Amino acid sequence: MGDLKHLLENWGADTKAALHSMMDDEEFYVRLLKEFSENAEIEMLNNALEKEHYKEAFKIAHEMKGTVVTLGLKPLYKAVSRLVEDLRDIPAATVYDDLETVNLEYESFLEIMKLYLI
Amino acid sequence: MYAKETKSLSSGTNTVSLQPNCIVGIGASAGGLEALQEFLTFLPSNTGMAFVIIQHLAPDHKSMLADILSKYSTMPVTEIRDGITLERNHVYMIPPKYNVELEEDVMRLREYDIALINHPIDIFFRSLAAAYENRSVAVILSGTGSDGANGIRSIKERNGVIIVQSPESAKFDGMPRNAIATGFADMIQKPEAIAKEMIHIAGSISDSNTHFLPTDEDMLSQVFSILKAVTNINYTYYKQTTILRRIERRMVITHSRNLKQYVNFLGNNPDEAKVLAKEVLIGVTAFFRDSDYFDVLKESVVKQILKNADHDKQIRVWVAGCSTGEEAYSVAILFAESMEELGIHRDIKIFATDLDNDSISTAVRGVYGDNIIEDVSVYRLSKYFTRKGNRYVIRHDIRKMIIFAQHNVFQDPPFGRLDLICCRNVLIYFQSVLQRNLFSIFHMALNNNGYLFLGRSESVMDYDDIFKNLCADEKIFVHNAGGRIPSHEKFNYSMQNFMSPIESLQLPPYEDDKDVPYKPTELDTSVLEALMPACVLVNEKNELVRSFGDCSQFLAIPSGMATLDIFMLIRNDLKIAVSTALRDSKDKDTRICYDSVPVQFNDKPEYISIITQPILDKHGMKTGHTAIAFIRENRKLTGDIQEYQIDTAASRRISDLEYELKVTKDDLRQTVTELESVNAELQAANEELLTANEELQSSNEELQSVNEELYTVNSEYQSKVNELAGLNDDMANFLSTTLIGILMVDRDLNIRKFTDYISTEFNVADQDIGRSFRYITYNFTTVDLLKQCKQVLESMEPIEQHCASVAGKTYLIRIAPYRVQENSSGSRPAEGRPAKKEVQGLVLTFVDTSKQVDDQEQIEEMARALRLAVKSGQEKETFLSNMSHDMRTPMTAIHGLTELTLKEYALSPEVRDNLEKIRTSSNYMLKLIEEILETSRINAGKVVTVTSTVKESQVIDTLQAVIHEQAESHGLTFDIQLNGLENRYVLMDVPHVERSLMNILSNSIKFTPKGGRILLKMDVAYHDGRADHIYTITDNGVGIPESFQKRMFQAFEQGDHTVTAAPSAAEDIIGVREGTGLGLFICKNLVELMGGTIKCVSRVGEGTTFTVTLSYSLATDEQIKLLSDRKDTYKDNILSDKNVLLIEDNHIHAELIIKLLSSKGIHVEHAQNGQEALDLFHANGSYHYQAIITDLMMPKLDGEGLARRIRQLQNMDAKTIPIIALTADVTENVDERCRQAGMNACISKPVDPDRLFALLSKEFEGEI
Repeated sequence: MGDLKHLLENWGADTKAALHSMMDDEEFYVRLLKEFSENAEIEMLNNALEKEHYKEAFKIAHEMKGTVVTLGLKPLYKAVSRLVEDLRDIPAATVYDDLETVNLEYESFLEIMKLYLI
Repeated sequence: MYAKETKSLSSGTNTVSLQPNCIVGIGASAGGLEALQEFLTFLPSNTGMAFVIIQHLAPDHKSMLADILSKYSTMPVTEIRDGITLERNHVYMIPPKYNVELEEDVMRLREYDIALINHPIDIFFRSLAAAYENRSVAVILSGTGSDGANGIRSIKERNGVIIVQSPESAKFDGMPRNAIATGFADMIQKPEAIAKEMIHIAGSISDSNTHFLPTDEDMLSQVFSILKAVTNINYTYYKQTTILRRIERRMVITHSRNLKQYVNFLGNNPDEAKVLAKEVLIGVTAFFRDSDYFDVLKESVVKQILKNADHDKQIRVWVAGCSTGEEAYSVAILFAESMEELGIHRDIKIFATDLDNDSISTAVRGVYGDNIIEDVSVYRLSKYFTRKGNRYVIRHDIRKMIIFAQHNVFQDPPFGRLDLICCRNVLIYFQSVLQRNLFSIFHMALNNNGYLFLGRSESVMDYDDIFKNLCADEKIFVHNAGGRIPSHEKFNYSMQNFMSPIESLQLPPYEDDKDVPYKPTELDTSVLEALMPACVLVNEKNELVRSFGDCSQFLAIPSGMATLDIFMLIRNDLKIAVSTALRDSKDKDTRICYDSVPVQFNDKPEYISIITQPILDKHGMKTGHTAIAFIRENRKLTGDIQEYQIDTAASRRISDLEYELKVTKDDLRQTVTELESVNAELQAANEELLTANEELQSSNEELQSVNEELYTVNSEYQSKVNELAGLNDDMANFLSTTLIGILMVDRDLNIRKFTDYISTEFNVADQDIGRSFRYITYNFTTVDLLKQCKQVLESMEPIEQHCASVAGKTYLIRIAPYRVQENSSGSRPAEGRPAKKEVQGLVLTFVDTSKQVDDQEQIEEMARALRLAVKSGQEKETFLSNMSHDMRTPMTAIHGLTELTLKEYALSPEVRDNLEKIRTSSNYMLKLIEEILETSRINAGKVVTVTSTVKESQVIDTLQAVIHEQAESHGLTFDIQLNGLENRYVLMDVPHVERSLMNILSNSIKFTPKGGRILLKMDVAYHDGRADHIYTITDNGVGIPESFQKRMFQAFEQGDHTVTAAPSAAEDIIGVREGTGLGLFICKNLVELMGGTIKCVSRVGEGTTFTVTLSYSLATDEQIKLLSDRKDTYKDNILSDKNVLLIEDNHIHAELIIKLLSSKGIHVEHAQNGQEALDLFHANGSYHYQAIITDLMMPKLDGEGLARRIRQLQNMDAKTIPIIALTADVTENVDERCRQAGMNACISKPVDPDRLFALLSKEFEGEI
């Protein structure tokens, strides 16, 4: 897992905290990361905002926030947290800009996973 | 990545160029990686194209895309560096933090400001279109937003190809959809198909580049025919180069190798004809295109028009060729801004027209993507647009200035009396003849000194005397209505909108070979084949077109106006014959031959034959032409010869008639011209009526809206009226039932209102309302009410006094000003001043104080007695306290020495017996002394309550442990019953509560005979952060006499009741009860000290029930945390083999928690949502689970809802099972919400395993 840890740390992730919450089981951690990279949450989030279904988007973003913080993906966590606050009450004007940031950070995470898995 | 070395093939001095034949720009964003992988996988490596990938990248991260994509293509994949030259069969990647532009074949990098919105795809596409024009291809792949939608406009303008990924195949379809919405996409396909399309495009472009120049005019004619049939538009006078380029583009897209192939395809596919027609119209436009030109237009034209226009005059503008409306809206915004800046308002009407109906439909909607932010300033966007999602909608006040309509400038009548015409980038598509036509239309439509605004590369040609330069660079002209009009064909428009259209007279067309719908060579052949030798060819208007052979004998040029009318040219003596033959020939559509037609040649009579023959083209279609042959020699013709008999007089008459007919025709032509002019005016009037109709509709809608608002307001007022009526009723009831006399008068002391009660002292009735107070009699003789009223009106200060009425009652009279808010009278308070209260009258209040006077003396007596009693009590307590204190020491000594002595073995039975009695007595005395001292401390206020954070059940647990044993030893049953207990943490003075309850329970044990039952019941209720406990202690003992119940809580009071149980040792020895008589006194005091109450109900022989009520504050989180904030330690053995119910819909979290708990030997059952968990909890029965861990946000039933439902269940552990919440939300009120829902604790994510285990351990142990 050394390469992946290195890549993630370079990106800004806190793998130490994440591993601590998983009792330092690296294999388990990698498996969860892979699962997250393959799920459809980001797509659902974009679709919901595209259709201006803000409440649904809030739920998805909130869900994702919990997942990424558990996995120690700090850059993505920061971006999703901002988006969650944008959507908590009346949608803020920066919703779509913050969504773009979320997408970019997620893409960065995907790149890392692809590199590691190639 | 490093660029692979690509050698150029060189053979001697020849070098194969590495320059790409075409450049493909690929724009992608979110989800683009997958699309690019698929695209590159299927893309051949030898297309000869260069591929430039513009992917949205995070500026702070080094991109690894080039590495990743290089695995999917055999072409080299290179990150772009500044100054590199593009080569064919290469893939180039944009680096992070930079925009890329192509300057000829060289790539330039420019760093962008990450704080601003950046559209790198648009930027690159524009430069690509400028550099490579029709050899550019734009591809839009998956992504969000609208980057690329503006750039493909430039590609379209330069005849490049645009391909968009199909939204269904895109991971994120925002960018593809926005691109498709522009209408510029040529193909919409999956990435695999796009890659395969590159092969065709590469082939087509290379073919067209080498030698593609359509020369077959017949083919082009067919194209125009097909287009006219589909669109009813004649493209003949459109610029050929424009048409050709469009055709070339369509050939590339339809994979046609040559024009013939394309024309076949076009003829067989009507849809392709529509697409080609649309391509020709192109419709590329933008908001404020050439923004500096629009700035000049605003200052030099718009403001001038506004200043010069009369107040009541409508300003009329025509935007011709408005396409999707951006230009029209831009002009409208200029007018709106100018009116605001000049501080004037005028009625503006803008007619925006275009040939393409789809463009008009788009313009009417007024909805645009966020790509317009590049063209419209932030200020204008915020002022004139409304943002909805990622779209901008034009505001209503701008929209209503414009009328959109489909309109053909050459066929439909123009608009009239215009102040400004905007016709930008329309003329460039027309040949000169059409351009001149358009200028003549504009000349007619514009007012004198009106303005004409053209496109950047357009000019007024030879209409420069009509349209004078105002701003030459910006192409703004002023209309000079009296200017010299250059001669050319007059305009001609159809009148299709009228009921009975009149056919317009056709003026002679240009002598232009292009207009001749036949080929001379073909006709020559036809004529020669049909007739010999002297022959003329006339058209459908009987005008001479061509002659063959020597026609001089038969035709002559008449004097006067030159003409080609055959009847003017033919000899007089042949006129009738020719006209008859010609007419018959046309009517019957066949050859007519007249033989023996007499003529005079050189004064010699002769006979000739005349043959008229309609001429067909090689396809057998009519051409409208007829050949007339004159045959001098007498030759036998085929059987269609007729002998022509002529009547000279008739022929003369016929000539006269023909002349009259000609004159009539001329008159008719003139009449028709005048009629056309009238029709044009009617058309204009009609169009104005349409405008008025639209305005009326708009007014109607506004009225409807106002009506709805009025309805709403009316409903609100109705509601207010109902409320007011209710208040009036309340007031009326209040006044009629109150026992206070109230009288309200106005400033003139006229009665306004009064209560019924006042009539006891005032002689007033309902009919006196409005009468002056001075005429009302009343029972107060010692006070001048009128005078006092006037005094209050002057001073504005209330007065009070007591007085007596003649009826013997005393009253407190108060006279006060009656004040109202200034607003309520309709006037507004001045700005900055608080609302004042205006005095509109007085309020007289009469309160009966007769009873109060009597009570006053009683109250003073009672106060005196109380003071004495208190003083007495205080003296008594002081004595007791001092005495007890003095006695305690020696009694302690006696007790202790007695205990010691009893431990000696050498004691006689008698001595031992005596000592035991002494010990018993001393025990009793010590207990008495302690209780006396405690009583004294209580009375002195020295006993205070000290609370600590405990669980509610703690006291019960303690009592259970102690009393149960005592009861058992007395042969009694002791039960405990708990109702409503949720076992929360509360702040309780545990020692005092235990002491009080213990006291009562001890009494119950003492006074209940063997075999009896004692029940301790605790009822709990929660509200407003408190827990109310009602302790009910019931026994079926001897009961308490009623006489004692009244004093049982007093000090030193003991009852005389007997006990059926064996007398106690104390009773035996000292003949007194074991109690001190202070227990209940102390108990009551402690309970009351803690803010509670104690009651007793008893019947002799039946039993006794004591009820103690106490209320505790619920402990706060901090208090609980302090309590439980010890080191997170836990013991594994406490955790293992426990059952925990986990509710979590996120499978990643669920996996993690299950793993953590399983590592400690905890069995986990997993539910996906609250409802599933509830069902499991209920189905598995009480105590199956030892704890519940739940996420908060879940579908169907969330965590809080689940907790509430569980606590309401009938399961025995429903109230007590620990429920722990997990949440990623760290807002302030999450903990409070969890508490209120009945949860025990809340842990935030990410979960700290030690914290979770420690919390569970505590819950399992039931620690506090």
